[in-house]
Amino acid sequence: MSLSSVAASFELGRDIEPSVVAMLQQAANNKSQGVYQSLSAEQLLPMLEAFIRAQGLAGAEVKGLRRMGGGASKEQFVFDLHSEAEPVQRCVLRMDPLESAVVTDRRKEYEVLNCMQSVLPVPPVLWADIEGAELCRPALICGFIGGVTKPSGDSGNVSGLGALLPERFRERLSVQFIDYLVAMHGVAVDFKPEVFQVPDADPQQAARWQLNWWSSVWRDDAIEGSPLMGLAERWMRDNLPGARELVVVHADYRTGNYLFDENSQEISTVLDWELAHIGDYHEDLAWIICHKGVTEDGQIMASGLMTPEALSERYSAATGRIVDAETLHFYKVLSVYKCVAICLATAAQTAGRKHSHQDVLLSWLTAAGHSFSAELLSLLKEVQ
Amino acid sequence: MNPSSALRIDTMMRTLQDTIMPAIRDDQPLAKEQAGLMLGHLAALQQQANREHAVDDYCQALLLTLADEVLRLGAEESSIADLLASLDTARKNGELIALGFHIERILASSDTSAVFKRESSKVAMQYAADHTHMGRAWFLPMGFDGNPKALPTVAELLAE
Repeated sequence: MSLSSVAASFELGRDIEPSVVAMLQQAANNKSQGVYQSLSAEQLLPMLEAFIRAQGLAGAEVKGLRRMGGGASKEQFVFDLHSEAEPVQRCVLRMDPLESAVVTDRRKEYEVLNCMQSVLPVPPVLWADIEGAELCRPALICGFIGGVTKPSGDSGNVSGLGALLPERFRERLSVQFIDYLVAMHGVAVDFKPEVFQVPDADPQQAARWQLNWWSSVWRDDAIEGSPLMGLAERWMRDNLPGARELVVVHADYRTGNYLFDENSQEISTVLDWELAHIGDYHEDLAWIICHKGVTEDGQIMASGLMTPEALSERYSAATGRIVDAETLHFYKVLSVYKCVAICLATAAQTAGRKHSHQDVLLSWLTAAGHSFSAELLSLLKEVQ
Repeated sequence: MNPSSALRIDTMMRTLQDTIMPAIRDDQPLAKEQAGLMLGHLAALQQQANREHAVDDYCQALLLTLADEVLRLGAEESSIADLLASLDTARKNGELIALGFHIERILASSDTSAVFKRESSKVAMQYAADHTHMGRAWFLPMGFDGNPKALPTVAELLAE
């Protein structure tokens, strides 16, 4: 229970990406709705077939529709698509529940996936029901890509948190991981202006937009006040870095959000683009570093793959961009602040309102917020 | 009271593990995963049994101490006078939820003196260290903590 809903009482003129405001306002509207009821595969099937036929695919038939596991945010189904003219194609349907651990927009995901098709391996995006008019909830249909997020037999933790890849995988995956990061950061930031806005009014705007977005999320969803989150917000407001160069930020690029083939160790696709936006390249680097695995001898491995120093050095070598230590630290604080907001606030509130098909996972993830809080405290101590 | 919570949790875990989970078909991965999470939640509840009120009391005591410190340090800060007044009222009325939000808002305010920022950082960080220790220790059975051996136990923290 927050004292006020920031998204609902959004003040005109506050510096935040306009399309993010619209997204947060829609999320605020959803909060008052009743218990979320998932559709079964049997209920979904006729709607899905009608939707695909309406996209112009003659004789479309959906076969083998079934739920997929995994994922804390989207309902996911897999199916085989048959049609008169095309070979059978295995597809994935990703649908928004009423709420989830993070508020996102299918329009943004659709646009950025389309843009990235020719740049790096991403799932081929086929159709989107942006408003959920045909499929009851906003949804995206993509081609299915095989692969694993972690080697078989590695139990790990849910959602790839704390993932450390076995040593024999690290180098080969690290090379590709950096290559694809560099590739996405090389894409021109000229999207449809109604979908992605560019924070170029002043050098600090990229950082300010992110801080205003996530502090709004926190204040809107916090169940109890957090002195630590207040302290972190103040430090970030007092230390907004200027962006040297704006790029397409994936915003959830880490082990767990790409698939690879266990035998060849080739990354087959990069997933979960729903938080993508235009921003500072340090943001992705910091997120990768904050999702760390620790080796038996205590070495921190960014995203379970390589040391933070190696990540920065390789990125700089590949792009010619400077990795500025102070800017990186700001985005590390922001990254962990986001994780605390997602776990202790939005995940808990969503589960409490029974608004997701994964309430039991969200209440589980909430507990991770305390470890992220400890990490946030540690980062703030470094600069006090 | 018989049956105890411990016995009820124990039997729920056994039926999940021995009967329900093996009966879930392999083509229902979400159901399998969620049953596994239920088992994890129950195992954590089993380890946390009978201590939730003591932990809440511990956290409330930390928050009240911090409120007093923030009120003392902020006495000369005119820019946050309204927030401090709200905090003072919440403190006097024992409104703990409001108390936490008011402290957060006060600490988030950039429009304060350098001295207040420095001193309030110290007390807030001490609070956060104690609070996150308890949070991590309490939820240790969930397996998120990267360095569990460095943590005191809940019993040790409550005994302090």
